[in-house]
Amino acid sequence: MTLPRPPPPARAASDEAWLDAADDIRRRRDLLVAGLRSGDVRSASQAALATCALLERVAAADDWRTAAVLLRRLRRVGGGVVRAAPGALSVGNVLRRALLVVREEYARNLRESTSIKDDAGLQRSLGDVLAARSAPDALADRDDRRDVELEALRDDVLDQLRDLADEIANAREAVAARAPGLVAPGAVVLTAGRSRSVAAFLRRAAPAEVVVVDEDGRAAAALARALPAAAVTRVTAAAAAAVAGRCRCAVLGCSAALADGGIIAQPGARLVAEACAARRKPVLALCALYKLAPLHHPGAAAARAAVAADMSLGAALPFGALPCDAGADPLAAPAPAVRHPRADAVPPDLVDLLVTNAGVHAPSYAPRLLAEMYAPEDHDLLRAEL
Amino acid sequence: MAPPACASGDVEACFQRSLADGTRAAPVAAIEALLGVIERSGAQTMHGLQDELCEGRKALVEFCEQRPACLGGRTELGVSSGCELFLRHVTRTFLEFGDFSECRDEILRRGRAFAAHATNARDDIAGHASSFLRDGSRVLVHGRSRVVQATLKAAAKSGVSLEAVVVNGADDCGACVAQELREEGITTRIIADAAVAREMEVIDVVLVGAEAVAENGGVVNKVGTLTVACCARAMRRPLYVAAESYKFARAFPLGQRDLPNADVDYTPPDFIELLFTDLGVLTPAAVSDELIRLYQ
Repeated sequence: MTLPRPPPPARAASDEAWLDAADDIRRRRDLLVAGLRSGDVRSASQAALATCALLERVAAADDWRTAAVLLRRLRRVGGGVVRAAPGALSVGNVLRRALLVVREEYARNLRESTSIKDDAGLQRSLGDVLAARSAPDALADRDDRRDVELEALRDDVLDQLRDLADEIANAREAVAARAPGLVAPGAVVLTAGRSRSVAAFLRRAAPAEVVVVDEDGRAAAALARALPAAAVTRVTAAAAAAVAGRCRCAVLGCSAALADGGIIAQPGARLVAEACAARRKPVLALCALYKLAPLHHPGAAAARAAVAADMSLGAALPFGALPCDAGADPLAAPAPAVRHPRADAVPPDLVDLLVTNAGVHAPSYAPRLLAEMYAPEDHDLLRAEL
Repeated sequence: MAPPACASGDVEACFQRSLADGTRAAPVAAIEALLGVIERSGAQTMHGLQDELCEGRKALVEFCEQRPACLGGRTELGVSSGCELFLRHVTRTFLEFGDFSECRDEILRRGRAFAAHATNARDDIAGHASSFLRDGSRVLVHGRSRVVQATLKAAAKSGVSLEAVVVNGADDCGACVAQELREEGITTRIIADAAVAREMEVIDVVLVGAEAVAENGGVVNKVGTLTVACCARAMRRPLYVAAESYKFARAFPLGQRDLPNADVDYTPPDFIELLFTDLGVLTPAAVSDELIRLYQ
């Protein structure tokens, strides 16, 4: 039974005042949101790096004194981006990492300077069930109680955030470094869509041939440029089942991975995965850790964002292919709008290995990775207190 | 709700009194019975107290095996999982506190708090399950699980419109479950257990509780759960289990014969999509991870 909590003090008003005054941060946040919505910031790594830079700015401001204030500000600024661009899951992941970093650094500094213990929002485990405090603490209250001023906190937090930015920037190469142990040179590899992670990975793996499931040719062209030594074959998704038998394995990039170990990838990835499962070929999903989200589904808003109604049939087909009356101007004919999904969801039972920048794991290991990276109170970023 | 006084009487009587309340699950009642053992204990050392608790646990498990009627058809696995968890917790608390009486008081305080707030776990579980119960979905329910009822009620309260389809067996408990769900304003239909396969086509989600969760993530639940799970798998519908973490048992049933109680059956983990627990949403594989972390 929880006692009714007194209403929060005027901190909400002071938060508003801070954000209104912090022009630089507001401007950067709006720029990021605009970039995510327009598609300028397209890949998960770009979104993650931009979010990390934004949160570093928030932490670098010199007018906060306590972890409680910093956590509120990070949630305010980061949460605004998450709400505005729900499809970019890596934004939320970076925010969650930053929040855990702040809590962990606070706990460490607190223990060193005053030997008080703070549990830094770690995952609740079976051993804690009987040891719970007498009233379940509200999560917002726990963060608000982190209000001891600690001198070294700012520098420590900034160091950790810079390390996080480095980790994100180097993730692609770290994932690619796993290639020699996973794919023998001279193999035939199947992939779907366009992914810089896959290109980097295959550069290290040195396959003889790469078969790309690609609807418009751009992915195949990019891979051919990236892998001059390999023969790149482009097929449509309908042929995935036919070619899977010839391939050694499938390598899929992803824009996000979900809590059950499934991934969100380019269109065509699901068909590739199903075809490989039918032929008993392994499916490797390249997933840097900042792409792993503690969500079981991305949410209705993200799902809507993943279906783009921006591609007209006229743009998809070559000139002259649209049927029209003799004598009529083909360019004047209104081309029907075609909805096409920007993403495919591949369930965890079709993925054999998750290749991350910190190791190679089975999808069933995803919950453990999540428990190490994010605090459970940050899983749901869009709750009301934000 | 004040816990029943266990200062007098033996551990079995205390256990029965806790169960008679109706709101407590068997593992929680077992933990309360063991708290009574500590209160009555005259031990002056940690070792002595642990011995008495082991005796108490053995007595409880034997009592439940000899008199299954006292559990009302439920499995005794829940009792042993509650006892094991409590004993493990006691051992860990001893390592935290140096002084015996301070430690003993702390264990009693935490234990009482746990028992008083044990039903809060159901709210946590309802919160985790809410994102899986989408508006307009049809949920198949089997067994009489308080956790499942709390989950559906919470979803209905938050404005999600659900239709519940309740499986009714020979003991007619489906009718009681349906009545309680209707009182919360959830559209409910009752079907016979033989009709589950026929109904599965239009079901979106299957939700059951558990009396015990096996070490590999499989569950022991009211008989008929495996039937429902087989149908769900055949029709590719997700089966979700809602269970509190104190039901995780260090048991590894290899088949139905490992459970002598004919009122329950064992559903292997590959039939189960996810478990909603107070520790979060877990895959069946994560259950063994949790148990290993506690008992290593």
